[in-house]
Amino acid sequence: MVKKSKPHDRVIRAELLFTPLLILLPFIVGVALIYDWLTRDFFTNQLELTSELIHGIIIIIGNLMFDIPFLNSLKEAIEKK
Amino acid sequence: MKKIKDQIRETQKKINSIDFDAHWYRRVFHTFGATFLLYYMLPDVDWINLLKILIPLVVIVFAISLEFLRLSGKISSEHFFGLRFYEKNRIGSYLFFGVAVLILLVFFPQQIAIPCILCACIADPVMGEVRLRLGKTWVYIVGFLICSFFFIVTWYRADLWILFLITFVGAAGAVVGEVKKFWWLDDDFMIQILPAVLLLLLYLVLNYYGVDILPEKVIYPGRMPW
Repeated sequence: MVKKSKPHDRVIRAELLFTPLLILLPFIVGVALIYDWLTRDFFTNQLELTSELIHGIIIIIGNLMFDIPFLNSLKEAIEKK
Repeated sequence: MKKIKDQIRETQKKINSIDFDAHWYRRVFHTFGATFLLYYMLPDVDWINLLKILIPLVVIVFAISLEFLRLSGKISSEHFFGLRFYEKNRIGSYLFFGVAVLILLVFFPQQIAIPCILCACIADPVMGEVRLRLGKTWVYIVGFLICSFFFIVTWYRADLWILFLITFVGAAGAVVGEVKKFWWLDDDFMIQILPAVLLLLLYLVLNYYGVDILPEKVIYPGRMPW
């Protein structure tokens, strides 16, 4: 299968296989930051410390902004075939 | 079993036949870079601290080797999906991006590194979209506002005059680093390193005069589960 496909096809396939990683990993890091804020600051009543919370939200929203059009373009490309 | 194999074969066929625009892929690759902030969450233990330097170094050496092979023609540029046309005969921007992140993580205080990395990961693709949809003038305005936001949320615990100074210098540096194009030096490198160097100089000069401007850390190392 791999031998028969063109190099460009193989590369595209590799990118598609990376998609779950590209999408999920930033979310995991964002959630980890928020979780750290909850356990380190929120539950210990240090409510003035919100850096980790804000950075976690920035990472999640920042990724979401571009993940949605990326997944849509991918879906369109798949449906075209 | 045969049914599963057929399904896998069918899926592989579908995946192989897909040809989609690299535009959004490049954007997502940028935002994915924010994942590197995980570096600061790793526990502060000797062997992990060693890995914190070794692993990024190995990754960068691997990427440099790949680029060397690509530019010397031993690997076709077609293998590098998402590469821009002008990058075919020069070092790919992904390498510039990675090297800049590595420099920031290893050599800069996190209070400076984090907003600079976020500028490259999130402000850069937003500025790219603004350039496409609204034109160049808006790139400066929107870019400056977004970069300012990243510096404010990282430095909000510093004194007010420091917050203003850092936000202005950092955001202006990031926008200049993004919009000023060089053929040999990628904007993905400049948007991170230019504000970081400016802020580090500012920090060192003020520190020399006895003013410590660095606020509390943003991200603290995690604890080992055992």
